[in-house]
Amino acid sequence: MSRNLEAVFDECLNQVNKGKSLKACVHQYPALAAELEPLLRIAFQLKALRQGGEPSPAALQAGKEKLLREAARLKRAKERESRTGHVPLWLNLQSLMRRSVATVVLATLLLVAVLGGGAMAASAKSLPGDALYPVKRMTEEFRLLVTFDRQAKAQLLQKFDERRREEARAVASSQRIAEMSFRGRVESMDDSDWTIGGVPVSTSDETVTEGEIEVGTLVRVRIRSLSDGTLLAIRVSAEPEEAIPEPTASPTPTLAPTAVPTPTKIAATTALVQPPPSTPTASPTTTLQPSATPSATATAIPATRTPPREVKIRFKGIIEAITADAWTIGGQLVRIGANTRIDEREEKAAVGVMARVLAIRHEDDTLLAIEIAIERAAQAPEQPFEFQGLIESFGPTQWIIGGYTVLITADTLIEGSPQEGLLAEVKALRQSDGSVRATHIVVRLPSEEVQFEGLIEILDAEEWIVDGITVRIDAQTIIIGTPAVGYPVEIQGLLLPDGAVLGRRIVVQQPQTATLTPGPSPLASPSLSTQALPTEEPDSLREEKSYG
Amino acid sequence: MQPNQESALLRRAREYDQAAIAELYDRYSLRIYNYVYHRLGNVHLAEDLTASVFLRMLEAIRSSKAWRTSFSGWLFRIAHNLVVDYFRASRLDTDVLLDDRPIASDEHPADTAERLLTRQRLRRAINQLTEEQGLVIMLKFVEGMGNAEVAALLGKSEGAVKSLQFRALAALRRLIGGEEL
Repeated sequence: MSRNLEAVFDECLNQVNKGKSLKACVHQYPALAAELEPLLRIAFQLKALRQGGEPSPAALQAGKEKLLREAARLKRAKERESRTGHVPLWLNLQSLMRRSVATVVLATLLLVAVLGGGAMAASAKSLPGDALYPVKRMTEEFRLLVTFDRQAKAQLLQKFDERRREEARAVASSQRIAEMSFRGRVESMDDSDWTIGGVPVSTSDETVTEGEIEVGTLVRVRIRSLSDGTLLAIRVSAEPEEAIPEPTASPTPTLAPTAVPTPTKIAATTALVQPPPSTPTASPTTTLQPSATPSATATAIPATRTPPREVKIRFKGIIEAITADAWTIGGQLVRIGANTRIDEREEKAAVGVMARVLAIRHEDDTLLAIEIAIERAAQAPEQPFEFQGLIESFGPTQWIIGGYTVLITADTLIEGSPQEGLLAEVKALRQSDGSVRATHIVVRLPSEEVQFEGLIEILDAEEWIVDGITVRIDAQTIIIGTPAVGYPVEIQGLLLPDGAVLGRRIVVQQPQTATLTPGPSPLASPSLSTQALPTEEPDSLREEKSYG
Repeated sequence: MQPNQESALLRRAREYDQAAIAELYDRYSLRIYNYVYHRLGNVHLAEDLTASVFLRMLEAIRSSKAWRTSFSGWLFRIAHNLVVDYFRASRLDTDVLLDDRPIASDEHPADTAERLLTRQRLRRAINQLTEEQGLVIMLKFVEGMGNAEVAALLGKSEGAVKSLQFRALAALRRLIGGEEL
């Protein structure tokens, strides 16, 4: 099929779409007409499939509810999984690092066997959040473990630090959401914009700082990347200077080609990580020593100094609790000592108010406040936003919808009756303290209708049990007849996600008792009656009641 | 919506954020429904399969293999495969008429029957095309998309789409054979 024919065909299609007749178009290309015409005809006959068929809004709505229920289930499953630690042991760095060198060597060999050398080599380019990232980190840990020369180890650490900084830059430029940490020297501190090890990070009021930090301080920074490419510093901690040796003038030792296994065959790869056969824990210096970089040995590595036992820490948060001895601020318990200064010039201390904290973190991780400054509430404008989700809980002052906690005030307009599991569309304002205040909530009813009959087993104002099925009653439920335990009822309702039924129309029927009674009811059959029970009224006299 | 906004939405959806998933559903459900309906010609089936497309999306959204270039293109691929699976499972590659469109009162019954059969033959033939051929036929000629839009959805160049549409129509012609449509 020549490209020319394909291009001519496309041109003809465009011309016919613009109103030219098919014949006239084909006529321009007499040599190709025999091939063009039948295909053009089919192309236009396909339009016959276009007609009609609007979906019912209820069906699309039901599809959405089903989808959101499934999403909620999967999210719960994912959270359970992450709580129990879904990372396989052999990929769990922390657990691995608690093990012996021999175990790590074996685990790495297994990793090579399972993933293949290609995957491990491919992991070199992976970023936090990628499936192969743990492999990359494990490969690095392995290299550190089998490097016993302190000089070489320090240079490896330096190299890996640079790698973390490169990853941070890559994560920012790809605008992916991830959390990670890296080490570097503070190069600039312009208000909230800092540069650490060449990586621009943003600090905020919520950024926790540990130790005295100024330009030139070596720090470890934990960051969270945001979808707009910002790297937000969560915690910046001063690091002991000796942890990283000063860079040498020599290039980075050429360890990578030998230490990162790249061959795809297991046999070839294992040869690289294999320690000397007789001494599995001995240093494989023959393969890992940077013999090609003699200048690297010129730098002496001083012993790593024990980190200071007490560090100053600064953070900011909402005061959550105040007692005589300790306050909870931003989720952290801060002890109040005799010398703690409470600065209430801007605002009085109270639960719910923002506070800046300067504290000392002791060796046992407890915080002793040096100063707590209470801040005047920020007058940031409220940000409107909209979302929808399933109602997880609802109360007079707050609901949880699709994982968001939303505040309900007297101004919140609520359409429909809330029930757990129902879909809610929310218009809200995000307030300066991060809380979400609902302005308008529309509760959507489920669209799957059910109908069944049974005996009332339990009867409460808001919930009945009929034949083992929970039937919820709300302001819109129409109840015909007077219900009582043991009465047969016919339920028409909507199926809720938790399996309960939201009653829409309930007809209480006359119980089928075959007891002859002396005094017939004027409205019921004289032979069969339910004197102990209310008599059934004719349809015309049925009382329509609305409970709720 | 800007690509960045869409990718932020998809990142949230990958974490099963309900608001993000609901937004994706609102954005694409009607387009997917139309696609499935045009493939099947039956409202109820199309509604059911549309719901299945999104449930399938949810199952696979965390996989790194879910989509490479276009999320909506991936949704259409899921829809295509579900329709093909449906036909296979129901053995509907015979002359079963699913078409539930109302019959025009002023149309002769013979004309109606002919029209329904034509549509059914076209659908049956489309089901026998390759995934990409089937998608390009449907997106271009039934859904009425332009080359650029189809190219973006399928992650191809416009030139490749022109070539693909030509080959797909030629294959369709062979499948329909000498039958007069």
